[in-house]
Amino acid sequence: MSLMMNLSRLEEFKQLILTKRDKIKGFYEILLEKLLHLNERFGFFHSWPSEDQLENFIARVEKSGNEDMQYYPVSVKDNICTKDLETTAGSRILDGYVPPFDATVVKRMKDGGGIIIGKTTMDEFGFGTFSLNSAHEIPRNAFDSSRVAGGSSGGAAVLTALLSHHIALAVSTGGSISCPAAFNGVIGFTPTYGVVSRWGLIDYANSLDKIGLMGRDINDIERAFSRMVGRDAKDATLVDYHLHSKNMKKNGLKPLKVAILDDVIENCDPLIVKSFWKAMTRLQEEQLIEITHMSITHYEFSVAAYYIIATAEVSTNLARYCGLRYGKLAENFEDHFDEFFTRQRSQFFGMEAKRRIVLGTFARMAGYRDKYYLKAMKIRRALIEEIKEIFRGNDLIATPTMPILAPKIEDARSLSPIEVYALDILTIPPNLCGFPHASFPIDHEPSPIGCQFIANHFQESTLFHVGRFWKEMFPLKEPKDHVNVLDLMENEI
Amino acid sequence: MRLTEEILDRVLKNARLEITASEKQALLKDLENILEAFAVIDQAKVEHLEPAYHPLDVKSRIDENVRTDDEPEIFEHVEILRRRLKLNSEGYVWGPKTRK
Repeated sequence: MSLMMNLSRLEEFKQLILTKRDKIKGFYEILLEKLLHLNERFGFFHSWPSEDQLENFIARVEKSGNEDMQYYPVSVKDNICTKDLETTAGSRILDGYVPPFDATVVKRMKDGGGIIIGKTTMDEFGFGTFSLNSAHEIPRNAFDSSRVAGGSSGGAAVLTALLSHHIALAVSTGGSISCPAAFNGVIGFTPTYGVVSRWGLIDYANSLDKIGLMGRDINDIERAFSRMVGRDAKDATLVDYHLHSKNMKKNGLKPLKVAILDDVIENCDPLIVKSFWKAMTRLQEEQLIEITHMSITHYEFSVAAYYIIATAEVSTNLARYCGLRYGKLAENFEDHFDEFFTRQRSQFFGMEAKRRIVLGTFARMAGYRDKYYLKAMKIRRALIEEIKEIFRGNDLIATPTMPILAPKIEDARSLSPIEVYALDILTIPPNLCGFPHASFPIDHEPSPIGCQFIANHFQESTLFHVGRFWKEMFPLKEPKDHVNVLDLMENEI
Repeated sequence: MRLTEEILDRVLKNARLEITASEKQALLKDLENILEAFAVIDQAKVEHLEPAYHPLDVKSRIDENVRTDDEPEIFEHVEILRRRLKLNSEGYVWGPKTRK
């Protein structure tokens, strides 16, 4: 339980830790020890800082005197480059790759006083809905370790569920923040495409990748987001969030107008449908929202369009992994370069990576490009226009986050690739079209269920507004192995 | 649109990947199912639309972010790169053969 009920988690953490300045190193040593013990069962970390590295992180904060996120624990998904910490993107082909630089978002977290506590596990390069395609540790659901964590930011979501005070940097291409957040009963936030620098993010698909956040408190997420956005000369695809968001309408105290897509919801698991409508009805009764019923014609094409575009982009992005520059470096150069590159790539890419490279290469080939790739781009245009039309009369679109509960690991493994791809039906549309969206937990029995809100481009403030009243009405639950950081600080250091 | 074994072989060569015979049969089946599901896009009436290469139509992106007064930064990690790569005595990077 929070000591100080009305403060954000970050604020209550700061208030306590600043009274124990001489014990910060000791606190982090104990915290890491506890987390590594849990890691053996839940598999959320792939790598973590050494004692010396932790000491350097702490010294950096002491020296800068920055008050913003002072000493707050921050985890980083393993496809975001973190200086001097192994960064593998969940793939064997990057085993041993230790970046000599921090991604812009990591640098901004460190400059704000955050302490990096570890690199979280994920599906290889982001290819997956369950984090089962990781070449390393498989993260397990924080509420039930026999179930999947969701993907591809599975490790981030599990850690966010288990740790009371912490912010996770995660990445979404087709729903990789929302899905694991929903499965682990935490908040997952994905901003508008292009407002957060992708410098230092190991690419999956350039027109789809977005760095976002997971946390247990919407105010923490808003604070961390405000640190992340902003100019970065290293990412020329960036847009000025502050310039565009100030022109958007601001929310007053009126009920938010929420469009609900009935035809999409009816195909979800009945427990999820029941939970979703319970939440919507309650919000309506409290006069926080007004519901309109809408449909989107092009929704049925979104999964296919997404996978065609994503795999086309990834098939070129992964061409750089050839055994010469990053991670697994070859020893033997006797072969011709065709055989050399083929051997390296075939040995160290997982099967899902190969499947997506093949699919993407095919979609781009002469003779198929117009039928698949260009058609998918046009479907994206149609979807953007349809959704923007809905936002002319509505503030938000709401759906459940995932159409199913987190499956048991062995059941998830038995699904075919196309069955897995189809499960992204609810998260793909906002990701494909670059709209900001967030998943908030509704229920936690029999397994966590999430509600997804989608806002218009640059309307992140509307999502934060939802998060604030959601916090009061649907408080987050703690899994059995939850670590309370404040108790740790009070009682163990 | 059927993905034949011949087309798959061409794609694998293009992508610099090789797989076993049993993996190839499994992959062919998977891709057949995937392409069958993706055939739904044939029903989308979108020919009149421009492709959306990017989710946002923000014309001034370059002006917003990259400006002529930005100071160029020197890449400072050359030594780290040298340590990671396999170099010969003259500092050239070892690589595979270019001639068969």
